[in-house]
Amino acid sequence: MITVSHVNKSFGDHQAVSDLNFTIEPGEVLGLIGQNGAGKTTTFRMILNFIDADSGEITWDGHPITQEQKQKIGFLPEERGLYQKESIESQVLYLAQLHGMNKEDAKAELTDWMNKLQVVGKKSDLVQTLSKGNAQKIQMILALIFKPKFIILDEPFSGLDPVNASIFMDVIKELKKQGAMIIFSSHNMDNVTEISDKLVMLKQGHTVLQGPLQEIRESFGRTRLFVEAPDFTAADFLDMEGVTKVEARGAGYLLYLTEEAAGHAIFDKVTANGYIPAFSQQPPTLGEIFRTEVATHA
Amino acid sequence: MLNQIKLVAKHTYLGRLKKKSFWGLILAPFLFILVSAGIGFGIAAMQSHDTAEIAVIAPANTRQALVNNEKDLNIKVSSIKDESKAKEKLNAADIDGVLNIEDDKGTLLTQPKSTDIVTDQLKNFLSKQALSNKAAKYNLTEQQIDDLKNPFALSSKVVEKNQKKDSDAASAVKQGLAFGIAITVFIIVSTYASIIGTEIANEKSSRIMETLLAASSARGQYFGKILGIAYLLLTQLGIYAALIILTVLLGQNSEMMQVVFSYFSALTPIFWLYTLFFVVVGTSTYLVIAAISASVVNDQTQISQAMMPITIISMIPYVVGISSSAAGNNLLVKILSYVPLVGQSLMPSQLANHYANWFEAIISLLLSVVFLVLVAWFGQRLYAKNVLSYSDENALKQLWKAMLPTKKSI
Repeated sequence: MITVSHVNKSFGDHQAVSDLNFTIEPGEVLGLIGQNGAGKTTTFRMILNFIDADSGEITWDGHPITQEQKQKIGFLPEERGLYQKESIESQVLYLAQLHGMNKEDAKAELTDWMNKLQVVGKKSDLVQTLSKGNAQKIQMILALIFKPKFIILDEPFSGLDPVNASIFMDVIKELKKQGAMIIFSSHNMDNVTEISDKLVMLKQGHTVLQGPLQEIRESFGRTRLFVEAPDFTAADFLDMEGVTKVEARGAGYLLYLTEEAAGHAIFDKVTANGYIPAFSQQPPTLGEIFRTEVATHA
Repeated sequence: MLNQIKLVAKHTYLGRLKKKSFWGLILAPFLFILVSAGIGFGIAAMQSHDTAEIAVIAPANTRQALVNNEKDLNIKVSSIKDESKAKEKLNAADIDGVLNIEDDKGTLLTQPKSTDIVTDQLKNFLSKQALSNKAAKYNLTEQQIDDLKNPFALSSKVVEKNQKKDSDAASAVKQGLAFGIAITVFIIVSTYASIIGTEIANEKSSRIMETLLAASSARGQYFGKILGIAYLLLTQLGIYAALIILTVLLGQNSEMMQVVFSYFSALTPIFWLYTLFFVVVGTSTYLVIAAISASVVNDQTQISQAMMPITIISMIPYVVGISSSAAGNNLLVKILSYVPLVGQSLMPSQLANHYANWFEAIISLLLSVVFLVLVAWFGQRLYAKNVLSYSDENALKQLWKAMLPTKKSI
């Protein structure tokens, strides 16, 4: 288990991370979200011992992370970088060996990983000839080829099209199934929602939200209501008690409620004449929560 | 850790070895020699080899002696024997000179466009000729003539305990040693400091450093890179050593090689081993400083700025080394021979010229080794501190800041 306990870091007068706490269990995915400059990359750098925390403790199974353990961490940095004039194979083998992997094993694994991530190109291709997406896939292979037990992915989906982002998400889910501990950052809340077990949201170094994803969403109340009721117009919904806003969504409407309980009265009204195709009362999406929190703690 | 250093060193070494620029570096001295020889040959070929034509107005035996030695004196004696006619021809620039000889005196008239005449050589010849004429006049024997012709012999000798006198050639090699090593070290430092600087700047500018440091330690990267570049330097020196040995083996019986041997006869293999080791220690120290300096750069454009301290420091042994080839016994040179970063360019010459003994030479080498270890140890901390920082500040300013003590190491 990875434990980050009461960690603080400042650069001069700027408090980059303040009293950060979280744990990651084997087979768990933690999403670290926050605006640019919130302290996500600083957190990753402290875990990797690139920089020292001013105070607090970061441990792996109760002990500070040693150099040997650090070598077993799979890391995809935010700033992507590869040896442009080297072949894919040459640099993957070099990095895999640095991580302690046998060269022959790495050779065999590389073929599998290139297939799995659908890399367009040959192992002998120079990195400078690859597209941005394919170069990012190679970077992902570098982070994962040696089967790390702990994986840090800093903005893994940035710059990827939806198809490739989906490939990456499938890989993360598979690693989770295999028992890896994964922490990642992303600005795409749909992706975060899809793969995270729990979340930490940072704002200017401070933790503003923390916990299992569904619990966080539920804590905001089920104040989003999607209704398909053919006899009701937007104006009808807006006149109902507890409805603050109405948006047309396909065949129905999305109602914004002041409180969860308002949904009961609305349900009674829209079903008074019997069957309606859709009535779904949900907590706010992660994206909405993110925007709300950013605005609230400004 | 050791395995990581080896991996980084191998990657750095093989990466550079595969580049054409490295082989260009190996071939550069040969190309330089070829080009220089070509230019020299071209100049020599284009130089005028005209022989000056001179009218000689002199007694018959002197004139005949000049005719007999035309080739050695690089002149052609004209058939004109009449003085006024000769002057006429000279004025018309048909001949290059008129040599008028009478008893012990002579006059050589030339015109502005005349082909050069080596007058010293001509004067020497005429002096000997006059001496022979006088000897004949006084009825001297052959032995008496030879005795008169022999110049006064003065030879110089330095008396030193337990040291045999070097030949003039060997002595010249020893004098030139400081000059040669100073230039060699300067070239190596300039080249390899730039290579290690480029290597680190490449990794920093391509932002691969975080990936590398996640897989290994900053210490592993730092020592591995220095070691990789040192392998490269040893490869270059090894190739040259192999070529020299091959040349010596193939041409050991040739006359030219015997001359070369005589030049190097006073320097023992142990001395060359000492010098090589000292040069490797000295240049490695420069490489370590180059690695530290390069760790502050953001990209290739800042390399020259970051390498400035190395260039300045390496100028000291270069300048002192060149000056000391003529003034090895100077007190300042003696002191600087013990100073790390400078000693490798001065101490071998001091040792060869008997200004320092082996004990002093070993002390100087040990001081440099200790300094290298200290700088390398101190440097790894600076490297780790700088290698992930990207600042817009001037590279030298960053370097200075990095050297200042901080509360926490990063």
